[in-house]
Amino acid sequence: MAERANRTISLWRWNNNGLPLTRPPEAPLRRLSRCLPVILPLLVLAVLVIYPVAGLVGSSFFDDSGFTLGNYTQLLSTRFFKLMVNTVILGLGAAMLATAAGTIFAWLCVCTDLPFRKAFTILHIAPYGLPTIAAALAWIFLLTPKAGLFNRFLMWLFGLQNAPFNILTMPGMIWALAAHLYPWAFLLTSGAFATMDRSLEDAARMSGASEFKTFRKITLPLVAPSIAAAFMLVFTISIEQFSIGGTIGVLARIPILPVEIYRSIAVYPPEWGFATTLSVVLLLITSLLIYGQNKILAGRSFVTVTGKETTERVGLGNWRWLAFAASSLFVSIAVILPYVGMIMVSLSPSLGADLTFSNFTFKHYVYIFTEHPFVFRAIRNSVFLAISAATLLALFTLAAAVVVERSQIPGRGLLSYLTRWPVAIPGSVISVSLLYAYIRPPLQLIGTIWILLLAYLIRNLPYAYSAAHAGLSRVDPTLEEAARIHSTPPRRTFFRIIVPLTLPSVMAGWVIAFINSLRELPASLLLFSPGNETISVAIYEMFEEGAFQLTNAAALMTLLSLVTLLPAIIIKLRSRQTGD
Amino acid sequence: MAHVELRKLRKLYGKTIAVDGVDLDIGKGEFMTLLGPSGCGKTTTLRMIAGLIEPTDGEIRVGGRLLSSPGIKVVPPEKRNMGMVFQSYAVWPHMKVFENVAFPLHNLKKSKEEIRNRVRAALELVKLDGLEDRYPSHLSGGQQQRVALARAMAVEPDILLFDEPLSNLDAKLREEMRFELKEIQRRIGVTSIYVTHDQAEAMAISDRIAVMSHGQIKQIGKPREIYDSPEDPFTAEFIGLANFFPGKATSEKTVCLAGRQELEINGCNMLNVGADVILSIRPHNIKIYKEVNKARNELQGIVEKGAYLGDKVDYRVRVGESILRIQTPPGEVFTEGTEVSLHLPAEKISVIPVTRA
Repeated sequence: MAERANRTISLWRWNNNGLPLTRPPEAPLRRLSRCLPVILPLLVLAVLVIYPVAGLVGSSFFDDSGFTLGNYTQLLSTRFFKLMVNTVILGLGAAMLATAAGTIFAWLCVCTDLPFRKAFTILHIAPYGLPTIAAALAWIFLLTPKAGLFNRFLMWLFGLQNAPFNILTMPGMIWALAAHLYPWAFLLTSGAFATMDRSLEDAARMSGASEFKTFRKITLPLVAPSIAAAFMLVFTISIEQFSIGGTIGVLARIPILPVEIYRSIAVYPPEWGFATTLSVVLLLITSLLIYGQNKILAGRSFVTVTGKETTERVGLGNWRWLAFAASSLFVSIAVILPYVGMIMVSLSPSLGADLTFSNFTFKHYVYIFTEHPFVFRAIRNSVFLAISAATLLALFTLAAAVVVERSQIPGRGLLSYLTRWPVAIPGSVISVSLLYAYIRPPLQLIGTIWILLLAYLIRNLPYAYSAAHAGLSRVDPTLEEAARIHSTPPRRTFFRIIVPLTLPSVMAGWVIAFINSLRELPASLLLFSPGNETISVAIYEMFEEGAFQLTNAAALMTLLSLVTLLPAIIIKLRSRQTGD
Repeated sequence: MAHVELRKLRKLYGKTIAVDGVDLDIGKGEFMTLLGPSGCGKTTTLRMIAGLIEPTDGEIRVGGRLLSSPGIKVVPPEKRNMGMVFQSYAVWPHMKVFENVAFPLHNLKKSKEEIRNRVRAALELVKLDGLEDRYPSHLSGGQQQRVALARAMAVEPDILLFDEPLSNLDAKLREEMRFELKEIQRRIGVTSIYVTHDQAEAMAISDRIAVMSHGQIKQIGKPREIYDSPEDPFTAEFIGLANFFPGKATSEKTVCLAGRQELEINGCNMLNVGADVILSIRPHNIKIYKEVNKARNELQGIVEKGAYLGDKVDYRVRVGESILRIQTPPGEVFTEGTEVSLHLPAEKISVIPVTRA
């Protein structure tokens, strides 16, 4: 009995008098075993993240003859210079357009009496339901100069001689990216608008400031950090994404960094040195951007004492229906049109044929399942991988979050940092580092499906972790302490108290990881091997095979979008409400 | 300084009635409190006076100037020359203390010199001089509230509006701030309208109180009047503790209780013989004795529970069907089950006529 009491006390940091206990010196082995909850996940992360990325960075300094800085001299070439210019212009353009649109529509939906603002909120999130590769190809269907459906519609409508738009240009790429990414800015800024204490604006009105001056001097400065963070987020995604650069960019002959990384490995012989160097550069840029974004959001100490929720909204007056018309026009073109284009092409007899009520056909849907060499297998692979990755991540990240938030074990800060780190690692960089790390024994995973699982685990680690962390932060620690007082063993506390209470958030994390894995392209494209294809690989291969396969690609995209659309929108709406 | 007139002020949200025909006159320099539970319409009324909410119906006049009336364009808040202190302080987090207080003065296009002097004076008044260059995030809640107060006063507004300004402060600070607020208001003599759900705060601070419930004003009066002679059950119950029991008027000076006992009351000429009434008496106004005195207004009961609270004893005594709450200074302590006599002094009983809808 006495021994047991002793042991219990030594696990606590404080004794009954609230004074720190001076512990008797512990055996090193015992101390190690007490740190296992941190050491084990750190080992997992070492295999998942540290080893491949460190290997990548290291390998960029070596070639066949040994240590060299030769790879980096390629950064002085005009090829690299053009690459950087393209990438930065694309990123800046998309970030500006997406942030502007996202902020304006967030303000309209959250703060004003815009008609149908709830429906608009859902529509503004809807692009997130469309896989990026589907959005890219949809814009190609719609806005290529001669065959583009929307171009032809506009030419017919206005009697034009020439196509008004060409998606195969830099502005075209910027538009496609911005239309796809503005929901991110919308969500971030609408969170800021929604949590801002309205009485700050009321106080300005009472101080004699007009509505416009209040907006300029109070509202805007208060949401500015969120707008800046949204800008950096969209910029980051824009320069690391592969799907639009790898499709529209390839047809338009506008190379950007992530696509060039893929190409320099896909060519024969592979340009390893160039690929690793580009990867390190891209990794540096995105890491800096994510760091800056976190700094901005953490510095947002303007967290408001949440006063009473006031139901008063900004009255738009005569502008109300003009704002409605502008919102409708934007949503129709940026959000609904890609879905329409994709579905129309999937039902057309052939690409470029006019779709009518008499000639629509389901033959492409039949084709992909009965004749295409690997679509069926790809779907099976993708579903297996997505479920495995999402489930493993849910368990791992919840356990990690509990260790980080609820234990005093040293090293937990590092654990938290490392789980969040992959958010700064672009998909193409992950694939290059995994290629490099697992191509030879002892862990020769290239050529198996497991390398894809690794890639999906890494890519979704931060999202799953934030979901688990958000769920845990909403569980009052006293609930666990109550379980402890009633002598519940830790494992039982975890499964009977923590898991049920965090389940909604963890499930949300699961769905995000599932959807992301189902749609992942850049890592899959470099890491798949025959027999281990995925859905997005199948779509991309069809795109590369040329025009005659695009209708089939449209069919597969439509099916994939149907599966991911609803869960994606629901998860995003939920995250807007709970602030996960 | 100005007087305020509200006439038949109404606010509807869809079909919900938030404010239901409020009439109120507030004199120059008066400190008027709107008191009521949450959802009673007091904040909505205040925000309509401020111009932050447009009334559905009714008129608002300040200093004789018509600010809001059906059919005319409502004067926007920035043109009303009022100051307001909010529950959440609403101190702008991206501006220093000085800038917060100077902001309204800038809006009035005052000279730099004047702004500096006025900000200094306002900060001195709220005892924050020396903190001009701090950001609000480095101030305590109490200090932030003082910044908000200084900001509201700096422009010398016609009216000062307070929306539960002390409810985010801790109990001790709240009591200190009450007196300080009142003192500052008295010194600058500005007409003030104060919203709170805390009756002690309202009593301590107000010249007059308007008790609100379900969007209507139930009673207006000095704190003492409201407490001593509540005119309806809601007011009696909401302000302090009260016992209620139903009865029937048998004459102008007597009421018959359900237990057929008759109680003498102070004459009430509004009372019709045979009318249903509700009697109310505060727990500390009931005397409790061991022995039966056979005096008038004496009821017999049994002690059900007693709690010793240090400065008083809190009893629940069963009288017939009902339980009366009684608070006495701790002298003789009666144990549970003791038979006791209660004396209800006629002058302490409030008679509230029952209005049948």
